[in-house]
Amino acid sequence: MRQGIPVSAIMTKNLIALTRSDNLERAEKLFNRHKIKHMPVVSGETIIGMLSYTDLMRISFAETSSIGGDTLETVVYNNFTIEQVMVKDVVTISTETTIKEAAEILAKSGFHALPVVEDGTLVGIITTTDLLNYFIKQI
Amino acid sequence: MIRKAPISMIMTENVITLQKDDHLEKAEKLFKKHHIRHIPVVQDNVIVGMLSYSDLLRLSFADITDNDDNAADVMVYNMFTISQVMKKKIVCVSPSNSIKEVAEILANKEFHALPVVNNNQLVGIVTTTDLINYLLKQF
Repeated sequence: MRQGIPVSAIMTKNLIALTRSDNLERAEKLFNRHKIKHMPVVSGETIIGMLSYTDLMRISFAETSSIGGDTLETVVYNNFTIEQVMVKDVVTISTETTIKEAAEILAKSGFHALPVVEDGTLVGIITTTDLLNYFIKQI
Repeated sequence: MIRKAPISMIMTENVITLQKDDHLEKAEKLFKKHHIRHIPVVQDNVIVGMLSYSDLLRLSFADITDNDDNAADVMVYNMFTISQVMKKKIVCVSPSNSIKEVAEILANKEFHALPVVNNNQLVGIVTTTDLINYLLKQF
């Protein structure tokens, strides 16, 4: 496989992002609408945190939709702010990071998305799905 | 790269499983002990569902403080069964499916692990991390 290709070649540039003032209900809506699992939280163009769907599930609770029913509804608990729930010490990479380096970070860290930052500005996000799609094209 | 390499080459064979009537507390212990995110639920080695760590998280809210007081968790776990919480609509692959086919399924779906089934018996599991590790070997 070709060496040295930067992540900027395959990252997602059309970012769906949240701001501090958004609430968790809006976050849930965006996760569902765009079928995504991770959203950067930004202040201007600077990333201040990452919110994952898993983080949201952590502060939700389940209700059985009917008595003795076999399906669960999840209700997001809205008394928390995005800042309380998001991950703050985010690992970021630069646009020049290679695809291989990004794959190594994602394989070791156990998370599924890495924000890409250039000169302090959030410019993209790369996920394990982006890597799989790249991989599929190479086979 | 070998074009038609089968998924059996890179799947995990010794799968940690749960029985349908296991307690959710056991599920949490297995997730934590083995540092995994997905556990197939089986009945006589036939897969009947998949339980993910996110499925467990959505049951109880506010684990944010990370304290060791698990009384609340235990209470919530007693309210639900594995059958209620697990995903029942699952996609399986066969050991002869190519690595590329499996990568395509994982790239297009919202989950990160696929059970590998042969003659109706669970024989392995493959995750996006397995695929990315395979990808890394190709550089």
